[in-house]
Amino acid sequence: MIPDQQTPRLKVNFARISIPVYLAFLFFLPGKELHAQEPKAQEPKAQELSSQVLETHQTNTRAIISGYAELGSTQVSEGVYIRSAALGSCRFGKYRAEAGIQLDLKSNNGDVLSGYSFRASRQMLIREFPFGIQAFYFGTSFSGVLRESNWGLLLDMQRRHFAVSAGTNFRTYAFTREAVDQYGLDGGTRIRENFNLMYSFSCQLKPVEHPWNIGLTMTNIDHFIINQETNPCFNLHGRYVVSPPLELFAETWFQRAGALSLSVNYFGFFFRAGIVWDIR
Amino acid sequence: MGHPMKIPGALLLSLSLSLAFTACEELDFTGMFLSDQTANQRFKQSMEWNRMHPFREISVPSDDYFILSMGDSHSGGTENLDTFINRDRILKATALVMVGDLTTGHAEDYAVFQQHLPPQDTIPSFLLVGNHELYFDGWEQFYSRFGSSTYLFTIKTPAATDLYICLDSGGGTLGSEQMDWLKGILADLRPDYRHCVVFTHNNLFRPRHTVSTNPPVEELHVLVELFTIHRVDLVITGHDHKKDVQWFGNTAYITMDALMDGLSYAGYLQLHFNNGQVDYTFINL
Repeated sequence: MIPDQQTPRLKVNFARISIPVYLAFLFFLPGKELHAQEPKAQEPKAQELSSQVLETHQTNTRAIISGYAELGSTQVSEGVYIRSAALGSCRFGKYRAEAGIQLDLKSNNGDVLSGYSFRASRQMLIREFPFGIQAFYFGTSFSGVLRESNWGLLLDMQRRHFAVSAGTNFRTYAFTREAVDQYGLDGGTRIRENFNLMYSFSCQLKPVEHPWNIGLTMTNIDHFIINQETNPCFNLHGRYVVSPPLELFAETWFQRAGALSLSVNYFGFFFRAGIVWDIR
Repeated sequence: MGHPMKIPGALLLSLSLSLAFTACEELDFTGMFLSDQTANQRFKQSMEWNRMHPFREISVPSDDYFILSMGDSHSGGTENLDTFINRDRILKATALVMVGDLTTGHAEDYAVFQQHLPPQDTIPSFLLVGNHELYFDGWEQFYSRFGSSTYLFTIKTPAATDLYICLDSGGGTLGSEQMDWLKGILADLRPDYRHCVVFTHNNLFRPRHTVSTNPPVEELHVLVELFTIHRVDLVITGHDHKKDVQWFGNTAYITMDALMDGLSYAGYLQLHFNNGQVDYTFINL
C-alpha cells in the first residue's frame, strides 16, 4: 500500500502552544509565601478559603500515602476486573511530588503492573484565590501489544464547595518492542494526539475542610487514564476522616461512550474504595 | 392575597433549552443522556437478521477490482449523493460501502435516502449505522429498511478471497457482544483470507480537535490490538468529516471526507486491488 500523499503537514498552532508555556511559567513563578496568609475577621471569604485550603501546604515537610482498590466492568473487560493502586507523595511547603503504581489483580490485561505515574505540583495564590498547578507523566498498558503514555499540565482551583481543573495533555500510543518484532510491524509504531483538553468539575455537599463530605464530579481525568474530551465520566464520591492522619474514601464511577455523538451508550462502571494516611 | 408566582431562573433556562432541543431538526439532544437501544440490543437484532440473510459472497472474474466507500451524506439533501451515485465508476465498482451518518435519523429522510440508492442488481450496497442514524429512534427505521449493521461479506477473485467486516459503532462503543463477535471472526476466519478490511462509522484517533466522539480509550486499545494481531489491512471510517490517514503498525486507519451537501471538499474513497496489493484514492466531487 502507498501512504496517502495528501496527509497534511504538521501545522504549528502558537495559540495552543502558548497555553502549556503559560502554565509552565506559573509553575516556576516566585509567587506569595503561602504561610504568611493570616486572614482577618473582616476580610472577604476568598481569603479565608485561601488560608483554609492552603493550611496543609505550609512549610513543614509531610508525607502522604494512599491506596485503593477498584472493582468494575466495561464493554471490553470480559467480566469483572479488580485493580489496585498505591500513591505516595511528599510535600515541601508549597511544592508536592507524587509517584504511583497501578496493579491489575484480575483483568484481561496480560500485565499485572498496568500503570505508573509521576506528578509535581505547586500551590499559589493569585489575587487571594488559591490555585494549584501540576505537571504529570504517566504510562498505562491495557495489553501486551500497546502502551499509552501521557504528559501534561493541569491547573486547578478549589473553593469551599466547588473544584475546577483544566489543562492539556499529550498522548502517545506506541507498540511494545515485543509486538514490533512478533508481528513485523514496519509501518508507524507511534501515534501522537497533542493538546488534548482535560477537565474536572466537582461539587461537594460540605465545605472542603469538613471531616466528611460527599460530592459529584464530571471529568475525563483519573489517576492512570485520561479519556478523550468527548468521553466524560461521572463519579459520586465521599470521604470520612476517621482520625486526623487517617481518611477513608469511596467513589462510584459511571462511564458512557459517545456523549457528544448524542446517542450515548453505556460503557462501564466501577466502585473504588481506599485510604489516605497523612503522616505529619 | 398570595405572593405573585416566581419562576426560578434555572427552570426558565431548562424550559428554554428543552424547547430549543425539541425544535432542533438535525440533532436529538436527548441522546446526550439516553439512548433508545443499547449496542448489545442492536447487535442481537443484527444477528437475527444475519441468520435469515446469509453473508454475501461476491465473485469477480479478474484479480483486479475496486470498491467504493462513502459516509456522512446526512440526507435530507441529496445533491452530493446523487452526483456520487450517478458517476460512471459506480457501475464498474464491485461493491459500495456506506459507513453511516447517511441520514438525519428522521423517517422521512430515511425514505428520501432509500429512493436515491442504486438498485441492488446494479451494484451490491452495504450500509452501516452512524450516530445520526440512531437519532429520533432511527435504528428502527434503519433495521426495517436495510437490516443488519454488523456483518461481513467476501469478494472472491480467481487468485484469492478478501474479507470485509462491517461494525456498528453508532453509539460510541461496539458493546461487549459485538466485540466478542469481532474477536471470533478475526480468530476463526481471518487466516483463510488474503486481505481484511474493516468498515465502521467512528474514527479511532483524534488527528484534530472536534466534538466528534471516538471510542473510549480502553476500547480503542482493544481494537488496535485486534487489528494488529490479525493483520487487518485497512480500517475505514467517517464521522469526523475530514479525511485523514494514520499508519499504525501494518494497518492504515482511514477517515473519509463527508459526502454531505454544501461541503466544499465533499468526497469518497476508492479501494483498488491490483496485483494482489490494496491501495486507496480519495476522490473529491
